[in-house]
Amino acid sequence: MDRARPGRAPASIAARVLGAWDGFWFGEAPLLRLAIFRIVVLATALWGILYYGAAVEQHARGASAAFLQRPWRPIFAFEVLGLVPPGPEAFDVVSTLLFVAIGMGLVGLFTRLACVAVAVLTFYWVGTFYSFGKPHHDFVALMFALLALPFSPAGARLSLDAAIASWRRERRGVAGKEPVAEVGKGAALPLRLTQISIAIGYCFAGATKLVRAGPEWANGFTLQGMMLEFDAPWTALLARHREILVFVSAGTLLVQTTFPLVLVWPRLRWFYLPAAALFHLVSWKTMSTGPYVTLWFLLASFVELERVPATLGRLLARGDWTLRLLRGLAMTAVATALLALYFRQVPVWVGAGLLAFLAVNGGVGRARRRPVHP
Amino acid sequence: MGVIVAAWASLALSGGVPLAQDSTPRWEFEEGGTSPEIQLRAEESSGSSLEAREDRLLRHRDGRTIPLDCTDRGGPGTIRDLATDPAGLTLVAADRDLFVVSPQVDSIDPVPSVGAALGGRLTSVHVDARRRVWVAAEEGLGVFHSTFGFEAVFGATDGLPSRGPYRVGPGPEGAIAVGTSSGVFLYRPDRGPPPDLPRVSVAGKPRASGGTYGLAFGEPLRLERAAGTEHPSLFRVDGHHVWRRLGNATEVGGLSPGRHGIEVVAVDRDLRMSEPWRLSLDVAVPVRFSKRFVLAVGALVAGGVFLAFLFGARVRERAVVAWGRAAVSTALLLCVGLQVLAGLVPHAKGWPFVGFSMYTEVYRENDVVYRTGIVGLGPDGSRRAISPYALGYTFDDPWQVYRPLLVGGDEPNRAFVEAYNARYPADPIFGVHVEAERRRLTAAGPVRVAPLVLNRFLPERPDGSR
Repeated sequence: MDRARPGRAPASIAARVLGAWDGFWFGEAPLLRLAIFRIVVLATALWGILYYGAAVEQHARGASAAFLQRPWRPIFAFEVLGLVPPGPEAFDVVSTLLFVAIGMGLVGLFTRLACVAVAVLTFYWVGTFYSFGKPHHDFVALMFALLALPFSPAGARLSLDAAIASWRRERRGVAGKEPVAEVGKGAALPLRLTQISIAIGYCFAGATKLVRAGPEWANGFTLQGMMLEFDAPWTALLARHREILVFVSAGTLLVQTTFPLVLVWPRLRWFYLPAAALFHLVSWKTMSTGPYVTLWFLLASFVELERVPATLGRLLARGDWTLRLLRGLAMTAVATALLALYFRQVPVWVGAGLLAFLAVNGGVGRARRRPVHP
Repeated sequence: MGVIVAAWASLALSGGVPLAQDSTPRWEFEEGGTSPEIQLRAEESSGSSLEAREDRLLRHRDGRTIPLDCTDRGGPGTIRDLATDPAGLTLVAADRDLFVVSPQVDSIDPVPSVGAALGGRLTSVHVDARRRVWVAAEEGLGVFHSTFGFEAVFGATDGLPSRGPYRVGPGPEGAIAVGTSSGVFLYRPDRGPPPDLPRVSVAGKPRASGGTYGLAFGEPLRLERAAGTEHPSLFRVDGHHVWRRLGNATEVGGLSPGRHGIEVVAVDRDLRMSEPWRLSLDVAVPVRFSKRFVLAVGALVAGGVFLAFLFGARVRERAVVAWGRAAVSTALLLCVGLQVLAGLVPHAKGWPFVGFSMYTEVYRENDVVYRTGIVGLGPDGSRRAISPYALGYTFDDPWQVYRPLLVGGDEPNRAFVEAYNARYPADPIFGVHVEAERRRLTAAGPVRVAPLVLNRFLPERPDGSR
């Protein structure tokens, strides 16, 4: 939308701010990127639902023991909305709806409606788990990504909705006569909100350490102590090297507090995204924070996802064969590790089914979008 | 994060307190008795023993002898006595302090103990069946409890006979033998009734046990021992496993809105606790956190922002698009604004608008880090770490299991052992410890030191042994 109109007096500051606001949130983005992001978000939600699933089900079915105390301390939103934990019947209904909605969202059938259902039910699911314990940060960005998806044309590509629309166009005989848009208005919204939520999360995580503890937080002993409180597979290896701990502490503060810079200079993602992924890996392996799969996957919001295959292809084609081999091995290792982590929670057949759908849908979609010249 | 305030750490802050007298005779002179023997060797576990040689402690295990390190750079000084604790620890009385070691670690570590309040160098140490650690010094005698961090110093008004140097050790039938400059006395703890329910004042007024007390948010609870209370008192909030000393005017602050449970117990010189004095505390929800206020302010802000977007948007689209875009813009601005607000004023309850308060503390060199866990005790005395998640329950915080085991008495512990044995019948356990594994931070890396055994459940065997 263009608020500063040609031929008129220069726009006021308010109009320019609003114009920038609209451009930022409601601007165009590649529809294919949004579609891939939709699949990433919903697949991550599925992982998260299963990750907390056993706990939510145990609460619902009343599984308890004399040595276990899980008091219900609802989060504020539950208090305001009067939400209570599900009983066994409600659990069955909620979980069924949730899995159906995620499935519909993944294949893009009634995409926006499915995304609304996933957002609402995931909020209830995760909120229930947190109300029996304490809230964590792993689902914050995911929650906002889910809430934002319905406000975007998330089902315009890689979806049954798109395939059905294309089929209808063919039946109406207008296929190939109308230009097919590669970008869509509002497609940037979920990507932007996810990016900003992630940036706010990292920035305040670092800033709070600096404000509350000061630079002394990076004295090496602090990280040593925190690792030892939780003790994980790499703790013993790192905890005895104070110099490394000082470096890691300072690096953590630097990466966290300055992470929002990636919003201003997108090229910085080549530094910040690996740094954030490494941060979660190290904190998982030294402090048992859990894998933070949700954040690992949602870092995809900063990536031009539609260009990934081409970029990887270029990387594999450049340089001598040793370099290419090394790059290939590194990519395979990262992909294998991520998939192994993901499919520890999610049944492999779900992934296989999704891949088959994407292969068919992607191929058909490309064929249908190909302009037809008489 | 399971941050615990360790009992031993709290000892360092508390200082010895002279205790009130009662009329039950506990001291008796042992005619012809010999002063308690000094133990310079101790069996710490099957096949592992300790031997004190001057200022070194040696461990003999599997045919090898290794000298143990000391986390205190000055070393322990001359070691005077060793005593083994029923939970497997060994206490080391030395010239410079009291130290502790366990079979799993290779360093002795100072225990902030009653020793500093006794005067003169330590001479001996003894741990009784109830895990009370009795410490004698040249000029005094004291006792502390290794699980709830309370200490008592014996003085002449408590009937401590004669003059030092004192020496302490086991006596017959559970008595404590105390050697003095004029012979050996037997001290018989736990005689007479346990302490009465403490008398407690709330905000300056004596108050009976039970009932509810209202408090404004941010206002500290003023608790104190009421006049005429015989014994020192300890208090805790919400069943926390660490008891804290109740002074003459203790202020309990930092209470979140909602209901809290306050318990106060009296503790006698033998470290026996009274029944708890209880108070239900209702901390009011501050106006700014009340549902009505939050919803009203939220609605006002949202309405204002919506109107600003609506009137500011000189759009060419249809009105419905402008309204829709203003609504989405409002939601987005609130969404981002609330995330920033949560970052500035961290409060997890507002999820998904949450800030950060975890991982913001600072550790320094020589600090001790605690990591709590469950240790299963096999019928043969073996030990094995048991994950709190090992019994098939899924939950958010391991303290949701540790806490019942620590403060719930025998029932949850017995249920845990039974559930474990039902799930792992080939590898049963007999008892269970909740232990805080401890590590001291040094520039050369962490040094593992003896754990704090917070809770010990070891049911009686059919033959009466444990």
